[in-house]
Amino acid sequence: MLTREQKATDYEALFRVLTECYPVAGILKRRGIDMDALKEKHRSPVIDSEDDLAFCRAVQDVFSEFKEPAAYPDGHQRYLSHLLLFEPARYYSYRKMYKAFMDGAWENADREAFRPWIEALEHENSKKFYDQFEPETVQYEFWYKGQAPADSLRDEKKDVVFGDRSVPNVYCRVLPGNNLYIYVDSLDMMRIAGDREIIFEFYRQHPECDNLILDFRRNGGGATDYWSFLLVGPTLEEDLQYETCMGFPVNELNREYFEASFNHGKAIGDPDGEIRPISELPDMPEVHREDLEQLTHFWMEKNVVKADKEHPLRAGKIWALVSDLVYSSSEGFAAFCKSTGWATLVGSRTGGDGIGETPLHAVLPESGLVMRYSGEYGFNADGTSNAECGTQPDIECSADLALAVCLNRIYEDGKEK
Amino acid sequence: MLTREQRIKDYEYLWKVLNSCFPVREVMKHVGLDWKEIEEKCRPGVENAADDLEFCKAVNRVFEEFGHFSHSNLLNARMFENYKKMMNSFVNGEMEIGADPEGLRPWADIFNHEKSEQFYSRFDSTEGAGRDFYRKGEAPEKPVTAAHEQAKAEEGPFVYGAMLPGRVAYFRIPSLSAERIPIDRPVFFDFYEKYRSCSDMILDFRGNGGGATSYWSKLIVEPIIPEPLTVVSYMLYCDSEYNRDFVKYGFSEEVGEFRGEKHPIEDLKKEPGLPKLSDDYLIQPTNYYKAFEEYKPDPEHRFTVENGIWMLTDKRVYSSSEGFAYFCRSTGFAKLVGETTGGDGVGITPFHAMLPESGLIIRYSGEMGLNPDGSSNPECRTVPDIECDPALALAVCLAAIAARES
Repeated sequence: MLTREQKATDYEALFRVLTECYPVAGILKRRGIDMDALKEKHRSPVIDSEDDLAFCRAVQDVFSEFKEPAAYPDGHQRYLSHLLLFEPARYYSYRKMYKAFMDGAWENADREAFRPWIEALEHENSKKFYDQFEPETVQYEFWYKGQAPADSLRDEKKDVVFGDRSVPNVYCRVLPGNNLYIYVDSLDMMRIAGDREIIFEFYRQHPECDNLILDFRRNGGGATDYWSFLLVGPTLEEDLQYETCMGFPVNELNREYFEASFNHGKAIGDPDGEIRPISELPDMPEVHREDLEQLTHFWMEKNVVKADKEHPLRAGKIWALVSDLVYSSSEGFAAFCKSTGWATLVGSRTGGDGIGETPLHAVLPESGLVMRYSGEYGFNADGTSNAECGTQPDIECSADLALAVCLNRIYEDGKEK
Repeated sequence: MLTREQRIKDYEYLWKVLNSCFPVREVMKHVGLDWKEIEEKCRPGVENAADDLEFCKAVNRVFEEFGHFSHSNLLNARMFENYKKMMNSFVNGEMEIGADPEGLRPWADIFNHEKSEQFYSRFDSTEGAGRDFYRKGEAPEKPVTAAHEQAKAEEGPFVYGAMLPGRVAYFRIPSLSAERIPIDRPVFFDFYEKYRSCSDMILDFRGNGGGATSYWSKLIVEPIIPEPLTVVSYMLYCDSEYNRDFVKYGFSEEVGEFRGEKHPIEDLKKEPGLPKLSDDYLIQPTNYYKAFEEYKPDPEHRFTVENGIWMLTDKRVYSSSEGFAYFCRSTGFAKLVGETTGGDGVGITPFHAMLPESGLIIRYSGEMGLNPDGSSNPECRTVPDIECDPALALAVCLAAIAARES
């Protein structure tokens, strides 16, 4: 069992990550959240917790302060900028998932790139600490092994993040007029291979359409590869390049990661590197100056979506339906549509935090509890924070009306021709 | 403050009313709700309540245990005020009901007892009270609605109508609230006038928990049907001293919502075409009302649907919204696409009763309606023709239309 001193050490480490590596200080300020006050409020419940279980629950109460009001149908809870404390169910599920990635389950991905993530999950302290707890609980719950009440146990078939993988993830149909519709429930990386068969077969049967409608309204994310390979690539005549801009605070905790990931392994400051000081950030009209105070550097990422000429789809016009549940790499898709004009967005303002790299893992040193957070601050084209503001659709309407509104626009546009 | 004896008297009265008037006791057993157990489970809370607030909460627990099955509620102060206002405005002719306002006389009368007025005036009736009881000024603030909820509420007309490719007319109808009828009417009628006809029509009722039957009969059905239509439905009820006025007015040839005939329950088995009628249904009710709903074409606002009409459903489709699902199913007016509905839509306005000592008012469906196949509507609800994830219902429906066209 952790001692009071160990808990205090972890508490300091947690707040060090939250204040020095998690680049949302400006957003928190606008939301009226004071990090110092939070630290004070939760110190005693965490440090004076009676046992390891109470400690975990008290730490989780800290994370709860960052909850966002998005209502996912499966009860999934969203926290600002991908912040999350891994409860046992998610801890084991992520370990399994990253192991599968290392074994090649995420095809075409660079396996070595997953190493820092799996190393955090396989930290000796983490393995030992999580071993005390029931592994198959429902989302966000901690219970000692053998003590979880029945209603806290999860159906083992269901992945804690992506749900029941026996339920189809995509639904492709022809709608009246020569219009194609594809509903994509998630961008689950484990389903890229299976869904590719379904989607490419659909393109093969319907290689040309007047309109393609992509329904992302319940899509909370997964992998960028999903949408770039399966949805965008086949519609392109040639490769499509676009840039995304993200800022971050560099310090001794994360310097190595940023240099390896964004700077070709070169030291920050090396003129051949791509990381630039924040003072050189291009002008964007709506930038929050106060947010820049926490950021020391930025990176302009150059992305390319490759044209897939083997599985072509000729679509006259492309539409994407979105809602406030669109988040993470699904948000990355919305931001891509908006900045490149590849698709017209219809629905309500999205959930955000889709500009940036895979969220980082951090291990609390004494317990081994693993947490996750976005290490970057993604800028929308106008300079606003993508995590805070999401993406504004081209045609704004209540999300539950988005398909009807989109089709009505297609109908009206067709009349004018 | 009520004495222990008064509380016990009210509790016993409550169960007398339920047993002799609320005709779903046996059906509720099918869904695992045993009244005897619930009565015993909730009794100590009533007997030992420290004050009137605790008493209300203890009585409320009965209805929570019921899962509010078949419109069953204990009205709290907020609901009391709302219903009182609504029932009086129906009877005074201030709000459209589409039926003879006199038929709702007992509904208005029950709210005008001094005892109820006095008792309820001690509790908080603000929005934040939800379905619960609070001392005055102690209800939580109304929770901030999510941004899109807010947008929806401020959208102006509640209803959304649009023409889609393939000349498919689409209407999203999120509520059948009687108050919305005059506001929403022009949305339908202007659309009908502008387009005159369509290939298919989709009526999106997902999330629609009900309101007034006349909303759908006047704004949707009557402009579309070419000929008068009569729908037969069966409503099983208990004839009891505790609901006498409601039965008299509600199931009345002259002022009731539907024309119809009262029959003893034994005769129900002789009615044709009810293969799923269960013997259990006949244990508690004493009678049934064979109702004839009549729909006449509206000659002034015509709209032609050339191919098919479709209703999108989910489990929130309830009450008079479920009544529309029943109408579609029994007449073939529309095909249903989506999720099994919430049920309890075959009947008239739910009944009320007042507990004599406190003045607390309960609400419950005074009848159990049957589906066209004879199964219980509150129990079995309506299973769509095409079942699917309700979030996909519009796409599934449009795909079915496109598949037919090709």
